[in-house]
Amino acid sequence: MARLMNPDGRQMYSRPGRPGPGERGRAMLILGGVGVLLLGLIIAVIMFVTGMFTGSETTGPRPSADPMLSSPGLGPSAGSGPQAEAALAQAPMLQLPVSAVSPRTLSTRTAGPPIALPQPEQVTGSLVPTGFPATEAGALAQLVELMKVGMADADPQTWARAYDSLAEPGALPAAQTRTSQDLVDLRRGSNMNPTGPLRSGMRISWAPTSVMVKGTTDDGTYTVACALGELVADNDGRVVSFGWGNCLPMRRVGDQWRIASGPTAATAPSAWPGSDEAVSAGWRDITR
Amino acid sequence: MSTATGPVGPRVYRGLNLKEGMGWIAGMTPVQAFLVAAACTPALIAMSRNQWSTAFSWGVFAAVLVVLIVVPVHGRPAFRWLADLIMFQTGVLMRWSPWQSRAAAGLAGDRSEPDLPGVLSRLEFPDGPEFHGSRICLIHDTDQGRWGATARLTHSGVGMLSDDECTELARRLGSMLVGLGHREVVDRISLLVRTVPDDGTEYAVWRERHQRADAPTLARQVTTEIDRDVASVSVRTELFVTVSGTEDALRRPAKAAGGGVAGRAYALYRVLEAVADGLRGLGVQSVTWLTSTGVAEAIKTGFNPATAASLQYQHLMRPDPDGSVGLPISQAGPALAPAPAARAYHHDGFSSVSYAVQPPESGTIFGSLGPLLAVRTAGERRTLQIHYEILSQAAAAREVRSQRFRNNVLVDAKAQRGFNTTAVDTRRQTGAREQEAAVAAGHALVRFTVASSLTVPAEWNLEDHAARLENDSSGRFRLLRLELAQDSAFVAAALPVGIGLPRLTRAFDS
Repeated sequence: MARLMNPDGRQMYSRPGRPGPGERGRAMLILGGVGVLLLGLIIAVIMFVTGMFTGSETTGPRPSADPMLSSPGLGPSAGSGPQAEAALAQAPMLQLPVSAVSPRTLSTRTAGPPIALPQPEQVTGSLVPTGFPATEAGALAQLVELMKVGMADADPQTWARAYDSLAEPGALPAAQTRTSQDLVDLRRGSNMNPTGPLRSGMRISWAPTSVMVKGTTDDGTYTVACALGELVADNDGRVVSFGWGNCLPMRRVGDQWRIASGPTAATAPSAWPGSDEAVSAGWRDITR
Repeated sequence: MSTATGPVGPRVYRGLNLKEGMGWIAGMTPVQAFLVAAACTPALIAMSRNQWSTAFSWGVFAAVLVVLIVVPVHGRPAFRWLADLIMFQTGVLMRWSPWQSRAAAGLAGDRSEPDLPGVLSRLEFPDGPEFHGSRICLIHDTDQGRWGATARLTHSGVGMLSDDECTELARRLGSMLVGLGHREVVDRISLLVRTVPDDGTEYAVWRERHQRADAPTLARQVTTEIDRDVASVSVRTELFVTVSGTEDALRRPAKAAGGGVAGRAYALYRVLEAVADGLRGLGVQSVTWLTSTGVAEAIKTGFNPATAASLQYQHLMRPDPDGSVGLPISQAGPALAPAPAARAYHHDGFSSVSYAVQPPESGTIFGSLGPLLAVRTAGERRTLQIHYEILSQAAAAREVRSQRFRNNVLVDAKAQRGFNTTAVDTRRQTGAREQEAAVAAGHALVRFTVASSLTVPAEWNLEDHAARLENDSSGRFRLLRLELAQDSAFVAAALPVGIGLPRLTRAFDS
């Protein structure tokens, strides 16, 4: 008969009453292995799940004129002078699908702390309120005021008047700006008159929600500012809303921010304010 | 149980393989369902946050985990295997599983103090009062609160009976169980059949006593040769029956009978008579309720078949009618049992493999367990133990109700949504309905488990013999080797102490 003896069977007679050290060692190894496996599994699961909740923190320290307002992910190295300005203005921004502008769930992540915009000092005597400090936040506030005035009723003419009131000589003509083209498309696409007041019962307004600084030259006089807001179209109670963003190059001239001469800024990443896409594009909330 | 409606041939017993505690949440137990839900949670969270790639990877992870939790391999899902492995190795590491008797260590304890390994350590064996001229040994399970007694039976076997007689026997077994169910004291009965390698002791003693001194030498030589050839392959079977009742059922009659161990014994004795009568109806010739010596010997020979010869010799040479000077209960256990291996149990120079016997879906006939006891090699020992628990009428009704509910939840949910129900579902559902109808008509419900084991001397090739046992049962019953629990399984399969059925657990009490 074959002798395929179980070694334990032999061992028990040579070492009465005590399990061999090999057995206990093996038990220890198996238990240890299983314990480590389970522990690893549990830790991995916990880490993954918590990671899913907190989301990936955007990192990327970049030298910038105002680190408080630096927006993530855009890195044309800032310098000064026309070339630096052009590079900064034309640097491409995050490409988002068109569908990103429609309402969607809000993200729990943020692109950074909210930005406080200063109040204008001069609200009369000009179409767009002016008189903002010579900071990035001032440039942002100036752009937001321009948008609020220019986007009223989604009228390209209104936009052109507001734009021209702030534009430096040499800036892109109002009719060629992306915003103007979009407004024309909007009017044409919804069978409205190309310019002028809206049909009765219809209202279109733009409310700012988020801003970001694309970049600033080293001397701090040239900033590409971006603003994102909610465009709400109300036709007899049927409301459609979506996100609408815009970027313009701003230059500090004298005691106010003007729309800079030279190439205009690349298209802003429009998204629904507060959504995951907006956060990943770098939009930050406004506090007044 | 349902019968085949065929006019000829033996009766086929079906519906025996209803698994107890079948999960009622889509076939999962509540624990499994909870774990599966937990495994799927990360994927669902990721989905709700529109992170589809994350959701996909979590989904794959959850699928793997669900397979590990739900799909049984050799009767246990992977997670259950892992838990069992952890417990098993903990026992080895903490030196809980290896065992050495006090006597082997040279510490002779009290004669009446049991000294048994593993699950047997929870048993106590108090002597009851006098019953038919001897003091019966009560088996007290301190863990589950049960009191029982064991009897040795003699039976001529059923191999030579006709189909009609077999059917009659089966019917009588059924009515005996129903009768026990109505008695409300005893609710468990275990039948143990063990083969005993015939060592020829009895014959040798008889020869010694009847030997003639003037016999011719040639005749002696011939007789010796015949003895050597014939006796080496002969096998006997011994039968034991263990009945036990719960502490709860016994408490009040015991109090009326004087309380304490004696009171419980009296309450049990009233039932033993009825059990013995029922057994005689099954063709059992004699029923001997065992004294503590008898129980000790039954356990001892269970662990070590080789001691049967010396014990038998003692009985024949120095008869001990009242069982007061035989083997004490303190020496009933094995002298040595090392830490059990995962797939076998070694004890006192023998090795055992134990199995759970699972009835087939297609049904079985009377006497089909026989091959499990057909010893193939002289010297191996096979055992078979069937544990029955008779549920009371109320418990049975509740059980079949919940069974039907569990089956209907799944089937109805599928049917309402227009999904196909599988044949298995329908079969289970009709089976549950039939059972409920039978219970409503006054039949009793019996939980049962069948365990079988094989013991060979330690130096033999154990796996060879185990494979033969598995072959013998193939096509009739499925043998599930109870890995990582061989020591407890051995107790359930080979020792007449009534341990073997887990307590009835319900997911919910309706």
